[in-house]
Amino acid sequence: MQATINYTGRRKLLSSEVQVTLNYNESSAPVFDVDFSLNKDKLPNEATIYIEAYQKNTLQRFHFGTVGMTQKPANRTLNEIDLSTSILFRVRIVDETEQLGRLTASVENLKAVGTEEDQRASLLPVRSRPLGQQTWKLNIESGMKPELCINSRIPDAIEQLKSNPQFQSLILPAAFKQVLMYFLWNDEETEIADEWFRFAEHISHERPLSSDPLSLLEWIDDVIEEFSNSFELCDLLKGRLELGAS
Amino acid sequence: MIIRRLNEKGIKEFARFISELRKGGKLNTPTYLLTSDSESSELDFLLDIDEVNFKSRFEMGAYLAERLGSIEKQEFIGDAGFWSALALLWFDQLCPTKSDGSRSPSMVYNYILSEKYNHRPRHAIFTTWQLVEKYSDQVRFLLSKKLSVRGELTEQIMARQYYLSCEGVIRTASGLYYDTEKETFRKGAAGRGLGSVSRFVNWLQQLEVNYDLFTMAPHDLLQIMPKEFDRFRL
Repeated sequence: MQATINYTGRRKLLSSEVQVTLNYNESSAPVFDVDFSLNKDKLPNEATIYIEAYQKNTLQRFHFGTVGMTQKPANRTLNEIDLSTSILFRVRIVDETEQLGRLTASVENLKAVGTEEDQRASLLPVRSRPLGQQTWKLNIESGMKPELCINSRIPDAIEQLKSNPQFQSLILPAAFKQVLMYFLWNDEETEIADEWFRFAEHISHERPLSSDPLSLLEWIDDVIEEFSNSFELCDLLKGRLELGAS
Repeated sequence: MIIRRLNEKGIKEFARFISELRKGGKLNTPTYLLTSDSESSELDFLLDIDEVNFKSRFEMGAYLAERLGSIEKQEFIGDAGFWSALALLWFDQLCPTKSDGSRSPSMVYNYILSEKYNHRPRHAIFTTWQLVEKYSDQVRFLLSKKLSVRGELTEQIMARQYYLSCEGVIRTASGLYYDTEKETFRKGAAGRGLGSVSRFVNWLQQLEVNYDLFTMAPHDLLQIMPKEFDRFRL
């Protein structure tokens, strides 16, 4: 096994020391903000703070002043990041008093909280994305929460899904069905898949022990039917359409 | 030609075509997907691409960087349908037909932009554009070969995608490995021997544990570089 020598005494920051929030603006690139609650023990006051936003092989770095005096850059727009999945953040605190910048503390894989805090807890985070002529799409990657993407060309896309019964009744049952089929057909045994199965079983009944596709499909249909019943989706849609017609 | 994005059906068709070629099939490139309404759709921006035969991947990257320069990156950077459409458009250059009519395509993710972060840098067009857009002439050593030659050096450097963002790293590598007379990478750069690109990447991986590579300039890196790289230092 390869040994890692920590001869510069760098430390891992706790995620509670740096809280990142993200504001999605549907007509332009998202903007992020950071709140620091740094434990300054062993961190030199003059060390520089860098925040890196990254996703896949895109990255943007921002200078946030020093440990002794944090300073937000005026422009915190993430206009060069691949937004096809959730943006991650990395913090690097660098001692630049000598010629080579030495890492004194860092943390990786931070996710934004705040404006999207409700989405963190949500089983199905909703994002606004460029999708060509597709109105919506489900993004599922193994080990990650499924994401419901609404075409960013639709005005107030995310708000529409949260409050417009037309969107909810036509999109949510189909998206729910896709998620369950993905987890069942790929034999996913992750915590996220378990959460979805628990949710589905809570709505309907326990999923069959058998892996017979027909039994599983029947169970999925039951779940979607009960889901639609419990939220009265057809009545909601009908009411909305009648309201629009009058 | 006005570029469109492949939709899911178009991407599946393109992937099926590549798989068939990999099995030895002799098929024509399905460029009709680029104009068919059921397999592709209009972009939210206008991109008009000429019929160009590129001499090298660098030339292709420079052409694209120029064409995309005035367009907001968010419009296309994560759009698999867009990058896959460009790979389909230039597929005959990326994977030319041999004299017996067969072709030898690389893996599907070399042409269709993958969702997987470790496959994504292997896309022939996306990564080439990223490198040239960011570093221009500094990446000639990575992209000097014909389109049909897979960028092995690029893949070695991009194995750690963070290095793409470290200007000092790319400029140092360019200084070490680019042969300005032959306009390609220097002999020994692509191997596994002392001082090669793969050894350079290994060294960077050790260095980044303790140092901030992002802010390191070429002279910083050259100052602490092990002796094994001396053969490439001018």
